[in-house]
Amino acid sequence: MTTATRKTKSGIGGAPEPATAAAPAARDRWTTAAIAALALVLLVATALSMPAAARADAAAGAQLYKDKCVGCHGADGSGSTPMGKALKVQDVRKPEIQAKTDAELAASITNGKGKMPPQKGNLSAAQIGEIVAYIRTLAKK
Amino acid sequence: MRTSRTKIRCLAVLLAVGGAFALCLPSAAVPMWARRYNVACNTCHNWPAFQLTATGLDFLRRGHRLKGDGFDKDWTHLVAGHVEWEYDAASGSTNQFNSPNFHLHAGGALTENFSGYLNANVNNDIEAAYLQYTKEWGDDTYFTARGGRLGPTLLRNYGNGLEAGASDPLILTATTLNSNPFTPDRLNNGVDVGGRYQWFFAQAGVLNGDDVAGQASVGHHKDFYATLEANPDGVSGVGLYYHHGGYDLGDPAAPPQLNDSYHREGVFANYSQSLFRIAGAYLYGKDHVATVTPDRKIHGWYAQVNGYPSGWVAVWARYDDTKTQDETGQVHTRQGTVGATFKVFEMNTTSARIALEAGRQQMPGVHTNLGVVNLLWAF
Repeated sequence: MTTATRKTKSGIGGAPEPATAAAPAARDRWTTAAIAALALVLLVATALSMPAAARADAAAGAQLYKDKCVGCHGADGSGSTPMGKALKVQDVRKPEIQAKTDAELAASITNGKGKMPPQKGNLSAAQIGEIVAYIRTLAKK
Repeated sequence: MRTSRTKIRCLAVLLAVGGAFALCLPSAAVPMWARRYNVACNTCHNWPAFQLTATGLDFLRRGHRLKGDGFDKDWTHLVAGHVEWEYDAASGSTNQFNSPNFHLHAGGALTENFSGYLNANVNNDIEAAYLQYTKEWGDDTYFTARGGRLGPTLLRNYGNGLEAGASDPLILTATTLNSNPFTPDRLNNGVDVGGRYQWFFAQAGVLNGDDVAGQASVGHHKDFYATLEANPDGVSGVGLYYHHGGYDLGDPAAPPQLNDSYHREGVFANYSQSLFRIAGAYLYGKDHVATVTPDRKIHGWYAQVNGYPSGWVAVWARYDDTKTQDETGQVHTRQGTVGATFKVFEMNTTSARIALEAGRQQMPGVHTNLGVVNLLWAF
C-alpha cells in the first residue's frame, strides 16, 4: 500500500523521486496518522468505558444479589419474600433508598443495618460495589 | 493391573465424595431453613459463632417458622444434619479424642400455626423434640405452647446460644450442688407456654426431671420454670429465670431417700451490636434436703465478651466464678477462657467452622489448664 501510494504521488508530482528520499516523509505522515487514529480510538474507548464498566458491575452484582440478598429483598427488590416481610425490609426501589449515595448503600451492606447482617468479610469492597450497581438497575425496572 | 484397578477405585471414591459435596445444598447452622428462605447463616447467627441474632431469636421463639408459613413439601427444607468432632484436653487428665457426633435436624412449619423441631444426636440421644403451637396478633405479639423434650428459650439464648466456641458458662452447664445433679441448661420432657408482647417475652413450663442412676430419682417430683425477658432491640436486654424442682437423693435402691427441694434464680443480661456482644449472668440457688441443715447454697456469675470483626472469625473471652456451700464446706471455682471460631468454608453447598479455646480453672488447691478443638460441618 505504501509503495503504491508513493508511486501515485510520484506520478502526480512530475518527475519521479528516488524512493529512498521520499520514504522518511511518507513514514512521518503515516506515523502521525496512526498516532491520531490511536488517540481517537483511545478517546472513544475512554468515553465508552464508564458505562461499560457500570454495566459489567451490574451484571456481576446481579449474581451476588441473587446469592446474598434475594432471600430477604426479593428478586425485584420489593422485599416481598416471607423473610423480607417478617423483617420488614425496605423496598430498595424506593426513591428514598435510591437517593442514597453509592458510598452510603455500600456502608449499609458492609456493616449491616437494623436486622440486615453485615457482609464485612463475606464480600469484598468491589463485590459490594457491584451489588450497589445492580440495586441501581432495579429502580429502572 | 492391580494399580489400574486401584486408580479406578480411588477415582470412584473421589467422584463419590465430590458428588456428595456437589449435591449438598446451601447450609447454615441448621441449614434446612437457610435453604427454605434462601438466606445465609448470618441472618440468624453471628456466624461463624452460633449466637442468635434478633432475627434468629424471634424465629426460635415462634417455633422455627415465620408468620404465615405453611408446610413446605420440599424435604430439603425440612431436614438437615451436622457432624461435630471435639478434642478436649485437660492437664492431669487423659485427653479425650471424642468420636464424631452426627446430628439430624428436622422441623419447621407443619400448618399455619403448628410447627415441630427435632435435634437428634444419633450417637447419643434426642437433644430436643417438640411440637409447638403459635398464634400471632400483629407483627410482635404472639402466644406459643410447646410439648415434648424442651428447655427454657432464655437459656438457649444464653447457654448454647451464647456459643462462640464449644464451652458454656459453668453456672449453666457444669456446677451442681452436692448430690443434686441439676444444671439449668438441660432439656426434659414437659410442656410450656410463652408469649411475646412488644419488648417482652415470658415463658413458663412444667418438666419431668431426669433420674440419675444410682444418685437421684425424680419420683413424683415435677419441676417448674418461668422466665421473663425484655429485649428492646430484639436481642439485647435483660432476662429473669426461676426454676423450682425436686429430687429424691441418694441411692434409689437403698432407701430412705432424702427429699431434696431446690430452686434456682438468675438474672441475665446482654448488649449486642453487629460487631460485639457483652453478656453476663448471676445465678443463685438453694437446696432444702430433709435431715440436712442448714440449706445448701450455690451462687455464681459469668461475664463474656464476644467480638465479630469479620465474617471469617469470632473471638471471645469469658470469666466464670461459682461458689457452692454445703455441710462439708465451700468450694470456690474460678475459670478464665478465651477462644476463637473460624469459618473454614461457606459456600452454596455446605459450610464448616472450627472453634479453638483455652482456659484455666482454679479450685482450692488445684489448677487445671483446659483446651478444646471443635470442628463442625453442617449440610
